[in-house]
Amino acid sequence: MAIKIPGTRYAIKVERRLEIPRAIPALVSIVSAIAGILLGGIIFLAVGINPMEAYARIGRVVTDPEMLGNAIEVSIPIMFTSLALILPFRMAFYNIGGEGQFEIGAVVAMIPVIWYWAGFELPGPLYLPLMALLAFVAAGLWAMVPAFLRARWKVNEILVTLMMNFISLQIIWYLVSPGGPWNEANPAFRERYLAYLKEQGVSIIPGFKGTPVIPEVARMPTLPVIGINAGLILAIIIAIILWFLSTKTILGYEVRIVGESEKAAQYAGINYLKLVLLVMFISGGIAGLGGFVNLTADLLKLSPEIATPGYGYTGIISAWLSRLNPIAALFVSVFFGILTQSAYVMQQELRISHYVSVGFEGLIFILLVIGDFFVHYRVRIIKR
Amino acid sequence: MASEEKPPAVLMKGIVKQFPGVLALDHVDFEVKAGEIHGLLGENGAGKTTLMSILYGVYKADAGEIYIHGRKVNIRSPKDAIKLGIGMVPQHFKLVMAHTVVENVILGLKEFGMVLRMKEAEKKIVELASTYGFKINPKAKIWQLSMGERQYVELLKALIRKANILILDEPTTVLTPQETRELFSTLKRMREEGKSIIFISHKLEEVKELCDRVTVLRKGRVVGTVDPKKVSLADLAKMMVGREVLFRIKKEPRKVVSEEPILKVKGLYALSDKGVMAVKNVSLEVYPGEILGIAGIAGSGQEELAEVITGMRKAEKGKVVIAGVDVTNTSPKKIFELGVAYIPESRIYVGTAPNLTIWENMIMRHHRYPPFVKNKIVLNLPYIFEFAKKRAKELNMMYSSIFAPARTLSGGNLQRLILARELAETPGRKTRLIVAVYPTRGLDVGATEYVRKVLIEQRNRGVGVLLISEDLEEILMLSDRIAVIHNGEIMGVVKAEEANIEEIGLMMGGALRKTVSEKKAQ
Repeated sequence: MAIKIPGTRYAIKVERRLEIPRAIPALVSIVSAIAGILLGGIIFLAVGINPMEAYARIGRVVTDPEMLGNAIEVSIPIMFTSLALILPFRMAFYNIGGEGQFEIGAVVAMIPVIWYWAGFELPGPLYLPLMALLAFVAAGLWAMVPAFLRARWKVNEILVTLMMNFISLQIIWYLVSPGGPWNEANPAFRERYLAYLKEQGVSIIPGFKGTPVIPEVARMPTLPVIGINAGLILAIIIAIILWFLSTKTILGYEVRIVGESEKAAQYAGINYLKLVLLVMFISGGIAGLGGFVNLTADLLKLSPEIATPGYGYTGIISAWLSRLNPIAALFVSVFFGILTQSAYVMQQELRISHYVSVGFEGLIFILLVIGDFFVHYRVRIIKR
Repeated sequence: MASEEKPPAVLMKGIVKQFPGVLALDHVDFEVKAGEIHGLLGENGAGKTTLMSILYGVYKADAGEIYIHGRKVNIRSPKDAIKLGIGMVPQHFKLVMAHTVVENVILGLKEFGMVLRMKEAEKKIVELASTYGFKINPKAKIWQLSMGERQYVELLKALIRKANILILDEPTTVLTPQETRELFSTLKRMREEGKSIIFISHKLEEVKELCDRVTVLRKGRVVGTVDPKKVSLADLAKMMVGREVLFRIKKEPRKVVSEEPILKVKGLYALSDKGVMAVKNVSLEVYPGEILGIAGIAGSGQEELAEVITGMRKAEKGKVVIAGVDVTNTSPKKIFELGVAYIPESRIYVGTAPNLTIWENMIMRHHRYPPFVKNKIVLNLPYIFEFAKKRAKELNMMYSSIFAPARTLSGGNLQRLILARELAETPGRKTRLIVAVYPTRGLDVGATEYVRKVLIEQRNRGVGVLLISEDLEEILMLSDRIAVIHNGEIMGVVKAEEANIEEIGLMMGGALRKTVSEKKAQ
C-alpha cells in the first residue's frame, strides 16, 4: 500500500512488520501516551483553560510523593482487573466480565463481616485470609460459567461475561438497598453496630444503601514507610506468579497454543474444556481478589458505588496495552492511576467539570489504541 | 522469410520483480509464439506465478518490457490484460458456487444487457464449448460440477472474453488422469484454432506430452527454453532443480513383520464440516511395515478419514482400532500416546502454530511428557532449547533462531519440523503408525524427496504408514497397496505391483468398483 504525496516524487508506504522488535511496543505506548496528553490540550483550550496549567497538575502528581502515593493507591484495583485478563486473553477467550467478578469477590468477602455485625465473631487474624479465600473461590466459580458455556455449546463468551456484570451489580443492589438483608439498618446488626457508631461519635444508623462498615479487624493494613495499602504486595505477588505460569509451565504453553489456533490445540491433545475452566477460575479469582482489596482498603463498606469507577473495564484496556505481560500490566495500571489522580486534582484546583477530565482520559485511551497500529505496521517514505 | 513470420504472441524482456527481501524475477526473458503450447516449468517459488501475474496485470514489474503480438504494451491491471486478449485460469478457481455456469461466465460482461438475455448467453456458451470439443450444462450450479468441469467454466470465462493467449496455472492438480487427458485434447484443439497457451506446471511428464516448447525457471531466472520432445525427463528435472534428482526411490520388498494389522478401520462413517456424510462405510487395514496409499481426488473424504483415525473428528458409526486398542472417539492425546504420528493436511494452524516460536512448535504434542517436563507442571526449558537446536541442525533447517516464529520457515522446512517432531521417540512412546495427509503438497523437489525418503525408512523399520495423496505418481511410487477413494467410499484396494493407472483413474472418478464387499456394489 503506497500513498502518493501530491506534487513530490515521494510516496508513503505502509508495510506489515515481519518481526516486531522488542523495544517497539513500549516505545509506541510511550509516544502515543505523550501524543494523547498533548492533543488533550485542545479539550482544555475548548473550555477556556490554559493547557499548561493542566499539564502542571500532571507534573505535580508525578513528582509529589504523597500525590504519587494516592495515584498508586488508585491503581491497585486496576492492577488486579488487568492481571486477571492476561491468561484468558492469551488464549483468545475474551473475558469482559472482570467488573462482575470483581464485584462478586467483594460481595462474598463481605460474608464474615456480616456475621461479625450479626454477633458471630471469628478470631481476629482469621478475617483477612478467610475473606481473600472466599473472594477468590467465589469469583473464580462465577467466571467458570461463561467458560463452560463456551466450551460446551460455543456460546459467545463476550456476551455472557458482559451480561453477568449486570447480574452481579443487581445482586449488590438487592443485598444493600434499604430493607435488603445486608442493609446497615437491618435490625439484626442494630445492637452491635449502634454501639460501634457511638464510639465514632455518631448516634443513629442512617440507613443509606450500603452495608455496615467493615470493622478495624477486617481492614487491609497499610504498608509502613510508603503508606500504601498491602493490596499492592498481593498484586505484585500475583504478577510474578502469572509471569511464571505463562512462561515456564505447561499451562502457559497450552494457553499460547489455544490462543494461536484451536485446531492446533486439538491436534496437540489439549482438552479445551479443562483448560478454559482452569484459566477462568484463576482469572475470576484474581479479579475477585481485587474486589476484596478495594472493599477492605478503600470502600470499607459494600454498596453499588463499587461499580462507579468501572475498574473491570479499565482493566481490559490496561491488560491490552501491557501486551498481556503481567509485569508491564502493573506499570500500565499505575499510569492509569496517575491519570485519574491528575483529573481529580484538575477538578479541584481548576474548577473544571468532572466530564472534561474524563474526556481527557478517554482521548489518551484512544491515542494508545491507535498507536497499536504502529506496533504491527511500519510507515516509510519512499521515492517513486 | 523472417519478415513474413508472425510476431510472437507474447514477448517479455528483462523482467525484474523485487519483493521485500527476495528478488522474485531477475531479468527474465520469455517468448510465446503464436499458436503454440508453451510450458512454464519450475519448482515452487521459482517465479512462474509471479511472471504470469505480471503478464496478467496483477503485479507491475520493476523493470522490463512486454510486447503482445509485436506491439509494446503497458499492462496496469487485469482489465488491460483482458483487452489485449489475455485470459487466465487460476490455480484456485474463482467461481460463485451457488450460481449457474452461465451466471459465472457472463459475470461482469456488458454485451448481454442490463436485463440479462440469458437464452442468448446460454446458446453462446454451448456453441463455444462445442467448438473446443467439450460439453457443459450451462444451467448447472457450480457446486454440482466436478473439479474438471469447473476448470472448463474458468476456460469459458476467458474464451467468451475473446482471449487468444491463455494462461493455465497448474491446471491438472485437481484432475483425474482421464480428465487431464480430456483437458489436453481441448488445449490441442485451441492450438489448432491459433490460440497461444501458457501451461504452468511442475509435472515433467505432462509438460513433455503437451508442450511445443518449455521455458524452465529456477530461483527467478530462466535456465533455458527447450523442445521437450528432444530432452529427457531427467534433463528437464535437472534444469528445474539444478542437480540430479532421484526419480525412483529404491524400496526393499516388504518384510513380513506381523500379521496383526496396526490400524484397523471397520464400517466407518463420518461427517464433513458442512454436515454432509463424507466418509461412508470405509473399512481398511494397515499392517506394520507397509505403506497403504489412498488415492483419490482431493475432497473425496480422505481428509476426514484421516481426522477420524487420529481423533480429530468424531466417527458417526464404525470402529477404529490401533495396535489392538479401540480408539473410536477417544482423543488425539490418547491416539498420540499409542505411537501414532500424524502429518496433517494443514501445515499451519493445525500442524504448527505459525506465530509461536520454532522451539514451541518442536515440542507440540510431546510437551506434557518427560523429559520435556519436570514434575508434571514446569517445562524443562534448558532441555527443550537444546533439543530444538539439535533437531534444527540435524534437519538442515534454514532458520534464524529457535526463538523466531515458525511462520518465518519455508513450507519445506515446516514440514521437516513436523516430521521430526512426530517421529521423535521418547522413553514412553515408539512410532508405530504414521498418518500422512498430502505430505508433499506444495513442497519443492528437495523437500519432497526428503519426506518420501523418511516415509520409506519408517516403513522399512516396521512402522505402518497410511499415505493420503492426490499425486498419483507419489502413491504408485511409495505404496505397497493402494486403496482408491471416491465420494467417501473405498472403490477398491489393489497391490502396487499390479496397479494399473487406467483402472485407478476410473475408480477415482467413480466409474469402476473393484471390491464386492458390500451389497451396494454393482
